[in-house]
Amino acid sequence: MPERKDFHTFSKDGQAYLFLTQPVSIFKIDDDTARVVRAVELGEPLNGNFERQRWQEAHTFMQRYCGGMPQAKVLRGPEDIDERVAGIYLFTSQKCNLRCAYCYGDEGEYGQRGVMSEQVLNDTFDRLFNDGWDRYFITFFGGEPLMNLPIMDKTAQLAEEYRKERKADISLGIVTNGTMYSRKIKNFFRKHISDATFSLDGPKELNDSQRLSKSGLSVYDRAVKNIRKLTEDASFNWAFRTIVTNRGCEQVEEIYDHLGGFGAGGIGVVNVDVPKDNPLFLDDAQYRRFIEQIVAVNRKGLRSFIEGGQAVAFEYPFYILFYFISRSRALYHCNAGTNLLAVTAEGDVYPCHRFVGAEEFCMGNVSDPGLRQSKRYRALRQRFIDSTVDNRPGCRDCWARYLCGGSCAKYSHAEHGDIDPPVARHCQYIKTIIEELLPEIVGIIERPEEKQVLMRRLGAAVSNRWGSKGMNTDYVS
Amino acid sequence: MEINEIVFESLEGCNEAFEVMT
Repeated sequence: MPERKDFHTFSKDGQAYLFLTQPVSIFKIDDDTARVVRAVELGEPLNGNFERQRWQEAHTFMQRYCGGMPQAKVLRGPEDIDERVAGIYLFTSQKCNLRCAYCYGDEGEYGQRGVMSEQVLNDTFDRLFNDGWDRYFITFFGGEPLMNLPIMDKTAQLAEEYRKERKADISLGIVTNGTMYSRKIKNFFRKHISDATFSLDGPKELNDSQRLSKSGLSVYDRAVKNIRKLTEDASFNWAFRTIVTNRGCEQVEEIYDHLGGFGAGGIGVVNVDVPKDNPLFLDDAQYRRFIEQIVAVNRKGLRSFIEGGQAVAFEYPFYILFYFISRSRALYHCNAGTNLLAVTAEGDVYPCHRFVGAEEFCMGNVSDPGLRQSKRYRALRQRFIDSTVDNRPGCRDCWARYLCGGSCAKYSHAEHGDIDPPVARHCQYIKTIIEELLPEIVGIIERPEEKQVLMRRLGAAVSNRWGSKGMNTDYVS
Repeated sequence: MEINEIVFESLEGCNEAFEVMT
């Protein structure tokens, strides 16, 4: 029997919709039915015979529909989580040449300034990449990871040895501020990097008001010059990581357009994560404006995709289409604490880069041969395995839970002192994205010519990307 | 009562690739 958490009604441009959480379905419905179903969803009483009868009809329909459909596929459930640590953030350097106004890592030092030693690197490989031949990811992180290029070289050398000995197939990525450049760095990118993310917050004036260099020189000028040199004829995927503060919250579209001119493979825009009393914090009105603009940019991207243009931002329509086309459901936000970990310059292990420095989440140190069997490691790992949207209070009763996977555990912990309860702003963000963009997609699906174009272009995009990545079945035992 | 399902076609054989891509 469908419970209140299993359906949701909403309206857009005068049309009412019914969303069924399981098996991920969307319907157009008449206004009277929407009003009645909405009342039940909100726990309000029904008035009179008409409303009670209408609810009975709607309820019977939902029961039959859900009973006759296979369950949506779980993308990754507790039983799918193996022991393998598939990805790590490697803090090669806990030093930085910048002092960004919003840095959550205390100028990249996380309270423990230093660089990774060869011993810590060797221990990391010994402890974390010993689960057999498979694909693994290392993301160089910091601080500014390029401030310790020798250990990055050593990492690439070890990765090559592991590949030759068929111990692990390790891909290398990096998150960098882009302000460091040399022939050596360029060669390193060429030879070893498969995915690069450059931090840049938009046009020069905006970027340089919040991404500050210790030398006083323009971060924008240096980063842009270097990014162009590093990415010319790049053989690696690369993207921008962009933070929107209250200084840029009215310029989101301008930021996308500006960064879109560099030829990046993507632009990841997020709102700043700072306490409420920080001068860069977005107040509620500014946050609403931020979401409105994210929706507008993605709506524009969807139209461009259909009309054959270059979509600067298309990630949310793509994300929604994925869930509906594949009828899938997400139980987790990400792989943190289980198949994804972070290793600091001192060798301490955390669930991900955002937990670094939060001592209660330190899972141990790579110098400990018994790290992954230790009581602390096992307990913290299990804590993250248990944190599915079906278990998380605040998520388990939410209609959007399977299209969302829950909010980031670190954000939840910062707001509630617990990794489970969702962050109100995350919920607002996801629900707005779905309610604003899903009707746009429905409109396209209902227009045969546009639907044909959408499916053709989607198929081509997926095939091209898959082809370029190479479908590797080498790991199948 | 009017309830009309919006049917999303499958991307034949591409679901796994679609998942990886997103």
